[in-house]
Amino acid sequence: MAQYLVRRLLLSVVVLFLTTIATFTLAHSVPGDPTAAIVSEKIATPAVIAQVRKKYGLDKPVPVQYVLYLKNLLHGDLGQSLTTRHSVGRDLKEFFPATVELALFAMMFAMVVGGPLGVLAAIRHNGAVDHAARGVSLLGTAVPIYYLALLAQTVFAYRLKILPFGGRLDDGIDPPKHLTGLYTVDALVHGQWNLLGMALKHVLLPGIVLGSFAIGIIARMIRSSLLDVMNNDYVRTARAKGLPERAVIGSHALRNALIPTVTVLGLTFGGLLAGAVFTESIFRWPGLGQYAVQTATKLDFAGILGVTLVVAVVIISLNLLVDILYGFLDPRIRVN
Amino acid sequence: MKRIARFRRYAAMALLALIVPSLLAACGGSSAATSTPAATKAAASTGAAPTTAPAAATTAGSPAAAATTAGVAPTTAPAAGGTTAAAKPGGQIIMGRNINDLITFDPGHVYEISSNPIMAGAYETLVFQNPPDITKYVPVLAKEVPTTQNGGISADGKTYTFKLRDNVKFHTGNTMTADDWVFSMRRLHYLSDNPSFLADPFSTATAVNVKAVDPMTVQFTLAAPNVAFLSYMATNNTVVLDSKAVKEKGGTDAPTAKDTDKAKDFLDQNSAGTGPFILKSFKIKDEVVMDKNPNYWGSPAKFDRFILKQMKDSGTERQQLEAGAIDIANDLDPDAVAALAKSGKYTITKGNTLDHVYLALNTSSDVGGLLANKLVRQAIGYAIDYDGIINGLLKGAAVRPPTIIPLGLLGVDKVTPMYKTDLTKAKDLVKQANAVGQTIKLTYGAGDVIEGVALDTLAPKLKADIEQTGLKVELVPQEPQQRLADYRAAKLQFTVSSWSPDYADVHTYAEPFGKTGGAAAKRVKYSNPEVDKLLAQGLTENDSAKRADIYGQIQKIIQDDAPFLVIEQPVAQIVTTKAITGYVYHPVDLVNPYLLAKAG
Repeated sequence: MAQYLVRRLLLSVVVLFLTTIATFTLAHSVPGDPTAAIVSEKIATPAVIAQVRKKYGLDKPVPVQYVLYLKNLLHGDLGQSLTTRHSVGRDLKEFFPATVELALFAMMFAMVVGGPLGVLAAIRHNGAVDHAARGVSLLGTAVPIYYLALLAQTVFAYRLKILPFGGRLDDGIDPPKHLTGLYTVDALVHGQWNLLGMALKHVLLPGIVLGSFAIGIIARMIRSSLLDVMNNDYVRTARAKGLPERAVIGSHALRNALIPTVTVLGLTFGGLLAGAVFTESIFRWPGLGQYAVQTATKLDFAGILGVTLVVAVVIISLNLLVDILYGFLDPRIRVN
Repeated sequence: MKRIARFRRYAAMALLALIVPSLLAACGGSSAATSTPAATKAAASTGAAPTTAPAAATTAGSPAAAATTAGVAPTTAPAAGGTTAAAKPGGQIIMGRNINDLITFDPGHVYEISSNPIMAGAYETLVFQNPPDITKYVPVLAKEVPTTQNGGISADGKTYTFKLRDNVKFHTGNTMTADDWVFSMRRLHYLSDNPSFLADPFSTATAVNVKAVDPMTVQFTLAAPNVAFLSYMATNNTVVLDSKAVKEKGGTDAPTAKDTDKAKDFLDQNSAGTGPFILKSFKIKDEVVMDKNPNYWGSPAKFDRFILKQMKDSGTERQQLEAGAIDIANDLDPDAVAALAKSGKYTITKGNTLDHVYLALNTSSDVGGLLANKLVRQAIGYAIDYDGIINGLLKGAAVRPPTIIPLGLLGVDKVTPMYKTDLTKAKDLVKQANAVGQTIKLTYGAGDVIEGVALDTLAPKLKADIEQTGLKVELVPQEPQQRLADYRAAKLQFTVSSWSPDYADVHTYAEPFGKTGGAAAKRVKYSNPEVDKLLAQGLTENDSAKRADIYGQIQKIIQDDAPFLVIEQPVAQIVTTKAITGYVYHPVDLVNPYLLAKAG
């Protein structure tokens, strides 16, 4: 196991390195001048622009800029954002926890709804429950998320007034004492129950909207995997032995059906983290998606690279976790 | 058949699941269709909503100002059918606006439009310019506005002496002195950031000529007379900071401040000013919160908390206003404003911004090509369907100044507008210039929206208008930041751009657009010695009427030369609930929160 982990870690470093090269090259190949975003109209003389370019290292050839970036990265310095004027590390610390909180909630919701839905659909194959489950899955994946977000906001916040329009807390309220940056976790750990309730109320709607896409994927994956597994001999044998159906499904079929589902879960979570842009924007959720859009549109190279690295690290870590989980789910799969 | 029936069942279920919530969302009340893309500034509708009557003079955080000016308390004409209740202390006021541009509240660095209401609430200047007549000054932290008569301005116009108001406390509890002003102005200059040019009138390469004559008197010595100087001193950057507190947090006014000052992080989240509000928190892309300053030197604010809240788009902003989640909607689309005006439940406040959208025509032969010929530039001026653009694209939410000086600034009324749509004249000018059939390239930012105008819609409209003259127009969409960089480098033949003011004086437009080497003029290689001469006169002319004449002459020349053609000057339109009173639109600050009150 240790050898396997070391091998995977080394591979991860290579993947991250290649990711930075690809992102750096792509970002610099987009036509545009990043200094235009930060130097005002009134003072944009060639001398001032040259000064700003020198300050941010933009006056050097691209390969030299990359080497310098890598050198700083090895010291934990992700550079300075052109748009926020803060260090990228600080920006990521500020924006990333919000996205993690949203994605975690969305994932939990998707698993709680999608998992049982998929199982029911498989068990009641071709019945009313199966049709309903497939309909819900279809809706979740087919309806554009920005439309769903606007609809949800209009119904629950505007019409029914039972949930807030957006934000992580009510207007003007101070966040809980900082620990992780996830307001629900921080409030829970510090016993700030009012804030916990408030944070949960605020994450509910965007979490459900973001998770709706994943419900469909999870439900369909579990359904088809379970259907496939349930046709196997060992399931027939289990039934023939007289085991109750619950035991047949729960102890024998489901575990094997989860193997492909776990893969999908890992990729879906990574996708939620990377793709929460619309949800964050509509629900005023100050997360990584919003930061990513801003840095991309302003050609903020350090910011773009910072976001890419974070997302890459998360996806690599999730893939590793998934691979380790395989070993638990299926004794035939050993990491050695 | 079974499959078909099953498919129909699925389709019916899917449709139902879509339609029911949509109906629930859409039906009833005054809410109309789905959200429309946000404009960067609110644009007015052509609805019949009553407008707020701007106050003859409004206080700007200064009880003394109210006494000095012929003060009339701001009045708000409520929308038809309602009255506003009397305001009582307490409560919070929430203003919604797209605040994605906000990054700091450090006066030495801040340069974003959305920051202005916060800066206006937390920090104060020596003097101020109150709408609607922003050509006049009122004292704020100065005891009186310096003039040559009261000895505040020296005879040669180069020395300005301000006697400071007594017993003004900073948010930190320290007392304001002249030394704090010296520190604040030096720091502004030496930070060498976007707003640092505001210290230029009294700074050189090696010195910042501001000194404390005594603990309560601060003096500025200008390099050259500058009648617009008081306007420089009325901006949200030329404000006073508590020097002791800022130094404790790593702030410095040393010449190395650009690299050594460390106070920005502190000032992003805390205010060290004297204003009626104290900055409490700033959550980027989310909200800014200010609380009432209980130790304010003047009358305390009429409510406890001001929140500036992020609004992604007009649709959400409108919903939140209607649901009572916000009190002020700052940048609604024209159709949303019209719908709200018809409801009769809101107050609509209108005001001319000092921004504009203009065409830049390169006058040099190497880059401008046939635009180097004034006749061709003038022809374009006559070809454009200005009314179509203002009424069609902006739903009437704009006005149009004669040339590069926006309406509301000194001297605009001294020039008769030259360019009205006149295709006959335009065609004639093109023929005279022997330019029929020749091509000009219009470069614009693809996907960009400036001052509420989508350039992907405006550019084809301009092409269609201009091609009626016999000229051909090639549209060149470009990545917006690259377009801006090329424009600044004077590489573009013909482009669309926008400008907004730094300070509320006519010179903030006349110089960059008219002076040889001015920030905008050099981008189109425009130079007219007569304009340069008049600009120099305008900077030193103390008599307001004579100064207005000078800038009138400048505008006539620039209008005739036509290196720039202004398409529109947006009209801001702010919607507030009936409970809000005192909203006075300020073309630079947007609003001063101190003037607001909320009933109930």
